[in-house]
Amino acid sequence: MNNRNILERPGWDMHGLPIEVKVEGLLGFKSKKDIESFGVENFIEKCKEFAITQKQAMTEQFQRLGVWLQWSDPYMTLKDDYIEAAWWTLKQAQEKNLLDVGKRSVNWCPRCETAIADSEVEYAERVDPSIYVKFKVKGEENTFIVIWTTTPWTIPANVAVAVHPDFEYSKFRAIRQDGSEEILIAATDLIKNVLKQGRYVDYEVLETMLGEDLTTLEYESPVGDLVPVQNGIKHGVYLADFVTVENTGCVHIAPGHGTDDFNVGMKYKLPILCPVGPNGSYTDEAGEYEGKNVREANPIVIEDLRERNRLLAEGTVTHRYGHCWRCKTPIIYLATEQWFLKITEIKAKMLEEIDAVDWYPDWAGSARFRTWVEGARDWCISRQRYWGIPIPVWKCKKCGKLEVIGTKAEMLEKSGASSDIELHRPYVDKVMIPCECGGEKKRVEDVFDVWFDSAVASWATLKFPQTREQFDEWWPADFITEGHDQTRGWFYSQLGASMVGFGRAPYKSVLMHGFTLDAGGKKMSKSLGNVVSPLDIIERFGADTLRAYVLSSSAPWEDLKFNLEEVETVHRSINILWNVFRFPLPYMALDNFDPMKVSLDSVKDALREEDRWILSRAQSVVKAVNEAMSGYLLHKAVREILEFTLEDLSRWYIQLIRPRTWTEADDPDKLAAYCVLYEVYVTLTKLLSPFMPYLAEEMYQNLIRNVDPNAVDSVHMCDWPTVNEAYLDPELEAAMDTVRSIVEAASNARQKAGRKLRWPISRIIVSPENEGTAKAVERLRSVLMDQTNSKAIILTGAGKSWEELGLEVIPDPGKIGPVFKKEAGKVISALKEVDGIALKKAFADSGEFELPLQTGQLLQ
Amino acid sequence: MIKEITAKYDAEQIEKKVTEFWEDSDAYRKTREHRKTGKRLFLLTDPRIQPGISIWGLPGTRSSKIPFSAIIP
Repeated sequence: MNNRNILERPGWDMHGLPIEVKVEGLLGFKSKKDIESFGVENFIEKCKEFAITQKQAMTEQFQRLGVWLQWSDPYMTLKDDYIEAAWWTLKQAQEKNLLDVGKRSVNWCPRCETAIADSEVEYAERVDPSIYVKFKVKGEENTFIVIWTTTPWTIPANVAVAVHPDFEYSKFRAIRQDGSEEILIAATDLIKNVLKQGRYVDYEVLETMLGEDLTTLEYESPVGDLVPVQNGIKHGVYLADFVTVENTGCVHIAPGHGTDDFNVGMKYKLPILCPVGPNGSYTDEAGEYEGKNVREANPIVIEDLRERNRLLAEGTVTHRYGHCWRCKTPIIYLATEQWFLKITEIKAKMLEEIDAVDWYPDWAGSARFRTWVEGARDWCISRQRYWGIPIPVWKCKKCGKLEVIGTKAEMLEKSGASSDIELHRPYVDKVMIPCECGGEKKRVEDVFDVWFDSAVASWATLKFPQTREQFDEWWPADFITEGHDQTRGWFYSQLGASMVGFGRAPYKSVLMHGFTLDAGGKKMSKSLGNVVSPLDIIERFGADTLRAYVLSSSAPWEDLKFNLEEVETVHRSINILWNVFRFPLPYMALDNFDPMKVSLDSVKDALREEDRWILSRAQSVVKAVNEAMSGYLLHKAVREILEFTLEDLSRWYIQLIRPRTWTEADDPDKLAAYCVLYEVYVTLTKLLSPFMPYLAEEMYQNLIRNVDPNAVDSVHMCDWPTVNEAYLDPELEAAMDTVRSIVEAASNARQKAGRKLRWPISRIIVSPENEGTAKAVERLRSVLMDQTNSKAIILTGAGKSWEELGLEVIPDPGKIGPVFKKEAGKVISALKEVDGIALKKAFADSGEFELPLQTGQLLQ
Repeated sequence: MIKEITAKYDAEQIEKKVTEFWEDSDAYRKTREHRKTGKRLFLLTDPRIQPGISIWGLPGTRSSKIPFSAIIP
């Protein structure tokens, strides 16, 4: 409506774990094995089918919501042109040396059997074992380093202990109730904790030293007899700054099972022992533990430690622990070979780009997003799954050379594959590329993290790199909006990928919106049974009500606590709007009112003050809505419109003009009212159109299309109203406010006196506090008389009280008694009868008053 | 000429009628066509599929589409 040529393709995210997990559920699959035996080809066909069905269902839902997008031409992540956008981007990463491959400790879902990104880890409370373990120091009798862990299953993969170089540690004798004792090593500040955990009754510090003095120690694996590979490892103590004064101050390091652990391992060139397979079960490297699932192994490891006198204490801990975002399985950390985008190398530039983007609200970018990007690590983009964009890297089986393919054409050219090939697994897995060494390159089996799909949306939707034309015309995006969880999702993935591809942000402005929660503020979830289906609400109240409710209830970036009563309130407001709209129509129809023939200009001499007032109000609303929209304060815009309808039109203007609609057909006074209403309704219709598109269209077709065959077809083709300054009259609006409050006061007075509005009153006395009020009353005298049903309005001077205002005489016996003595009683009763105004006047004029007593006496 | 309307606000009827009108008159395409010469504005929608639950059942899905479609291009 602001004359913008827009590009707005809807998009469908059709790949990835979300779909795979859902399809696995439908097929009753429990693990990857089930998929392999079902056949990868069959499985991805099912995923495709599912995604397409979902796309259709959701398209209908969005359309029902009144969402106008280019539904006939959506972008789909499973299409070749989209896949190529991802391939092209990866090739850019390789060319700019921002692509990395190697063994790293990653978040791993043992059910989905794949790596997952940091942004895909969901934290939830969980109870885990909490154990203190003793590592026997070599060459020192009965001496142990004490560590603490919540993952007993990682003990078979222990390689080292980390201590802080600057903390003070102690070697101390710990004595039990039965007199037995052992020598322990822990941070000095944590001796008490260790004693308490191990139920020691006494202790004696033998020696203190700094962490850096401990690095000469060597210790034995507590389960070396069960895990033979452990016996070939030299277990030492190493320094790390991440160690804190908690538990024992000595940290168990299993480089195969944690990021910090892995980093210590890399730094000191320790063996990266990872005796756990993709399914979360121990491999043969774990010796006696082979085949056991790591979670089930926890109690077994604890028992083994106890039997070997290596368990100092055992308990449980409730902590926040990471889970797979899709299947909710607790994650583990595995050191595996993965592909990474080196975000850490482009982070500084990413942070700069955040400032170049307009964020609504501002803190979404300057605080929330910035914090996430500052803490970001290299992005693990590979997944060991099936339904996704295949990672376009071919590796020579003979010489190990890697080749990244940027387009389908490039792949066809280098491999000689047939051009009708689908760019999915398992088809591309069969494409072989000859290597310079004489060998053959085969694709690495991984697919992309599905967040990489959406990361390339801004250029994929422009069919880049297949064609440049649209890209040059449109990119980067002017506007995106998503929920506040997307600071680590779509806002982030797009920025990262775009920095790799183009060295700048792919969007110019971002509106971050909130979530829809239940009425109590809880997340809606199937298991809680508190999910409100938007379609149910639409069925009951209509899409316009749902939209108006969602938009008006809170600022877009605040969470919406879904409240049915509030939906009903909004629905009532729209009903009032309908009644306001309906009110003049029968009269206009009866009178054959034709706004094409009778213009507002032609009746301008017949305009009353109230007409000018509502015209001004309508312009003020346009102004307020524009202001609200410029900062995406959608809630304020909708509230402004609904309030105008309710307060100014329904409760006031319509009431004022009602009698005018009952007069002769060509009465100019009536035509003026028609013209004004028409003008205001046309403006209102346009204002409503983005928020309540159906109702606005219905109004438009009747109001405008029915009288002007040349008007544009739809309200949504109209120009957005601009403020008509000529109609604006702030002084008149203020005056009307004043008069409305006087009417309200009069109605209160009528209520007190028990006199209904239909009985006229002879006069209303207005005693204005200032000249402004006096002027308002003068200007709108007829409105005031009409609405109070009074025959006259009498205005006193500003700040003056009304002379005739009744005065009641209240005698004060304390004052009267001493003066009138015996007569005091009579004086008091006589005073009660006297006319207060006369009394006051007499004192003011002459300072005395003659009071007739009931006895006939006259007192002076 | 301007016509009288029903006394009751019947969203279902109105929205059905308007949907048909939009379809029959090809209103969306016409609107886009109408602005062909206007200044370009690239509104990028989020790619979306939430298996199973519609529109806002899952976190992050306070239908971006509602605020999105209320922006006035």
